[in-house]
Amino acid sequence: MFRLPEAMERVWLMRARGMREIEIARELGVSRQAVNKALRDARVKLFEAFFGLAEVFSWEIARVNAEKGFMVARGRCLGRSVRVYAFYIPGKGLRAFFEGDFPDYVLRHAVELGIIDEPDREKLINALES
Amino acid sequence: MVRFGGHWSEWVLTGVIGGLYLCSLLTGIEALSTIAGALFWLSLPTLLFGRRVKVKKNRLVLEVGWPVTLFRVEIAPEEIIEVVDLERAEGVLPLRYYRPAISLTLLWVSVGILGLIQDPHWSFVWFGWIYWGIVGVIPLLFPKKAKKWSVMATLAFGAFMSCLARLLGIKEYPMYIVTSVILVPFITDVRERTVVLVTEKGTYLVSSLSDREIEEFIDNLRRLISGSGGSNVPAS
Repeated sequence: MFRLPEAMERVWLMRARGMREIEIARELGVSRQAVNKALRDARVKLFEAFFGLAEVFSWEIARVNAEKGFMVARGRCLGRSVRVYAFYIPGKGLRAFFEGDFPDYVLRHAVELGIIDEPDREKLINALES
Repeated sequence: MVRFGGHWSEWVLTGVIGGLYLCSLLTGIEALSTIAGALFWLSLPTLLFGRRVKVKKNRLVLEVGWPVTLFRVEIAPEEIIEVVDLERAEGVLPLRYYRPAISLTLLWVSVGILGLIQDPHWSFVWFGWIYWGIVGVIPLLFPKKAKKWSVMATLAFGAFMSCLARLLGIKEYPMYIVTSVILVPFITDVRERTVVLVTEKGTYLVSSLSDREIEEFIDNLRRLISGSGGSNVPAS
């Protein structure tokens, strides 16, 4: 299962929550350069994971955001075209959902990262699609 | 050919051309509009066309300028924050990635309105500034899933401009609606497919008329990110 290394994941999550690099560096007691390097490496790993996931399942990528850790793609399920939403959830790894069938923990994660302001399925789909 | 767009030089150049015309109208110095005209025709083949996108030494290379490269942007995979395929991201508003287009539209419309007031003999030309300033931004105001509305808005705007031109006694008044009708296939079928790359340095656009070439570009991007992209491999 794909997971970011623990320290990298912590830095990525802090950035995804909206903290600036300098604030993260101060909070963790490391240099700003170290934070920048961790973020850059995390983005590459996330892109790689999302692109890999899309390739395995033959999904057509519409959007990949490595900063907030999500992907929007188009796939086929039972012969019909469906929307696929994938997220990188800290502690859990990659999770993908068809047609916005999100469990509660995904909605909470999206609120935590500031993708939406309240745990609402429609709002999340709207935010990912627009 | 997969080509590059969205470099700051394109926005600056278009702004300078509009700005020079505006200054010419405000000050009455005709040399400024002559310089703007010369800049426009010179820039058409040299600056306003991005070159073929390449992958070199594990970096995406985007270049602008013809016959020589005037600007070059190299993007390392770790600098990329977001990748958006505007054709597949059906709800994404393209204007979000073309922010400078708003101020340029305002500039072009200002030139047109000011020109109409100061020199009504050339109404046809000033209407052109207003028309092209607005019509260029209409497709950016609608996401792909609302393409139908983009077509309707373009036609409605063309009809509105033609009616206005007729009221003002401009002989060439049917031209605006006719141009809008001609533009419709370019909004629906012949339009370029664009992939937006949001990076730490800025936002860049990679476009092609061919779906296959864009697929190849995305595939090359994927290989570049996963570290297996070969050196000197063209992106298309």
